[in-house]
Amino acid sequence: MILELLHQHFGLLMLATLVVLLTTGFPVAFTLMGTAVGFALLGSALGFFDAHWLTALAFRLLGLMNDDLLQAVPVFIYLGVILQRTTLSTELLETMAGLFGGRAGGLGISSIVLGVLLAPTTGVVGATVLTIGLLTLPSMLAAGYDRRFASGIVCCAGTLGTIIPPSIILIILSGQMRLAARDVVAPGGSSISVNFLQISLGALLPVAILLCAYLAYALGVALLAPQASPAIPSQQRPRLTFRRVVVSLVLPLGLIGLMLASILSGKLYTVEAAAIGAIVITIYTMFRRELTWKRLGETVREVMRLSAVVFTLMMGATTFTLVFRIMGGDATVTKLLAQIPGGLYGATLLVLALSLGLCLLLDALEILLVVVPLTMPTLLGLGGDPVWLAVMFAITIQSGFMVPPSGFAICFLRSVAPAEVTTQDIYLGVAPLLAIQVMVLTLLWTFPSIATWLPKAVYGGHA
Amino acid sequence: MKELERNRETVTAPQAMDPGSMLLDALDRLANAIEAVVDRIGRVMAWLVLVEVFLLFVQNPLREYVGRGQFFANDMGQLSHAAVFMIGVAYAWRWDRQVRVDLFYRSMGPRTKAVVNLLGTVFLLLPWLALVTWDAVPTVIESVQIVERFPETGSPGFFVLKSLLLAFAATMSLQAAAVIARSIVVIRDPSRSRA
Repeated sequence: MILELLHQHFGLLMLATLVVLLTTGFPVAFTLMGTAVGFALLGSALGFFDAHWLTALAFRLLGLMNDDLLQAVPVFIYLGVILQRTTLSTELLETMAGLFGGRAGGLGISSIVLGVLLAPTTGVVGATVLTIGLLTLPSMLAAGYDRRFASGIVCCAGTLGTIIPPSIILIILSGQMRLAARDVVAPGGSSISVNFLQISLGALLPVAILLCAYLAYALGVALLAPQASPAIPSQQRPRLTFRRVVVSLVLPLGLIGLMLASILSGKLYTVEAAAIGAIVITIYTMFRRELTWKRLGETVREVMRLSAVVFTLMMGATTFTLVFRIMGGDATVTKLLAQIPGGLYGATLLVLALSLGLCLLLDALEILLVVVPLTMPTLLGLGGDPVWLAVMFAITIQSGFMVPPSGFAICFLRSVAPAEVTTQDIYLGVAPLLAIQVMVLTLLWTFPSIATWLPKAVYGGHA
Repeated sequence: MKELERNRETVTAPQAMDPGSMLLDALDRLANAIEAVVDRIGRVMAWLVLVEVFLLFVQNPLREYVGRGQFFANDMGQLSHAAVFMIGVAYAWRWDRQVRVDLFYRSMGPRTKAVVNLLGTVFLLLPWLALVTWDAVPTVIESVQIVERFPETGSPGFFVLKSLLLAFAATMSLQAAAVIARSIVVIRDPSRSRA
């Protein structure tokens, strides 16, 4: 009797144990691994679990090592670390400030654009929020920007990149969606498949809407309350020469545009575009003597640490979901989600709300790696479009970065912002941006074709 | 409290001959030595990041203009990529970069942190690591014996990729030993915490 009850709720017990153990502060990845192994051993002692399944572990790790989609992750991290450690992005921002800073709101808009330009390199444990925050916040405050407005802009500029294709978050999300879709049969009996390009194309339009909404917000503030984002007086603006505009703005823009176009049109694999970018930037910064051998050594070591953190989390998550699914946790999740009124839409809403709630505890990447494998098979089975689900999920975890009190962007801002920027300023500053996030999500919710139209148009038929 | 602790410190420091303290010294040195090894391995292997970037960079011109070698470049890129993150796990841990939920951890004292790390390593990480190693050994031995090639392309060196599982297990065991030793030292004598 008790054993039966235990068996039925084993999955939930496993999740609850995980949450409790996570709060001790032991590394998340290792806690995932240990909880899974502990429950597998307990389950096999009680006869719920065939310990044989654990031999799949080494094969799962091998699969991770041999997955060629994931090759791009360290390469993008490399690009991001170099941008963080050289003055290229400072120069980019200064050039834009020189061009647009003369108008009210110009610097704020430049910051958002910078976030878009640095996008492909972002998404790992908030590294961009860091780069962009360190660059843009001081210059906006020095220009006399309202503290709340400036904090909000930093948060959205720093986090938008996490979901602009081909970001690291989208790469990993696609991998997880592909796995989730693999063993699901859609209503009607057809199999589901989804790949990175489809999800990238699907994200394009919603991200554009999000970006336009941010820009409209910055412009609106500039028009209605110009004192919140004043123009920089001309003697304080950096002087621009034609050559400088070309070298530090037009060239990088062109390069990024070209790379994105070649990825989306299928001319280059994502990883090739990333590697070309990495080689170009390495040679260029070495040529400018900004990147010495010593700094290159520091860079590769930092890349190794950051990539390893990402892959350790994947190892932990794959262990956890393996055991969870074999324990029948999947069936429990499916049963729970099926009881939600509203069918697919209700269940999706619950999953997104839950993911947003998890932002109080976990990072975007961790949420992705735990929530997607556990819930997406069910949502796909209810007939959800994989591209639509992936894009909604991506925007949700991006919003999670900005959720007070412990979203990464918020924490980061609080740690670097000068004392005059209070916590309350930051909270009030992100509030309008969170409203934008919710609006865009609602729009996507009501009109799924915003996400699904483009991949369908390119790939034809069922996306 | 602080006063008391400081007093104890001044009392114990000159008595280096005290056996308990000598044991802690030895453990401390052991942890340092192991971490130095993990660090050395990490520093060398980190350069594979550049190798990976370069190989993935040449893959496109090879495919477009040479017409061969692109698969070999990609497979070797995959190998460097896997080596970077498999060795990197212990290296990142050595620098305490593995992400934690720091809701409570942030405000814990050095001794409580050491207890978390000690118990976590012994009861959460090591059982998993043992399982993976147990699974991996026969697979790796078999693969090395037949000098296995990449299944899809036939490039040589797949057995090296598989062997990384054991390199991973080895570096992780080393770092786990360092964490255990360091945690014991700090639990017995929180003043030795480096944080």
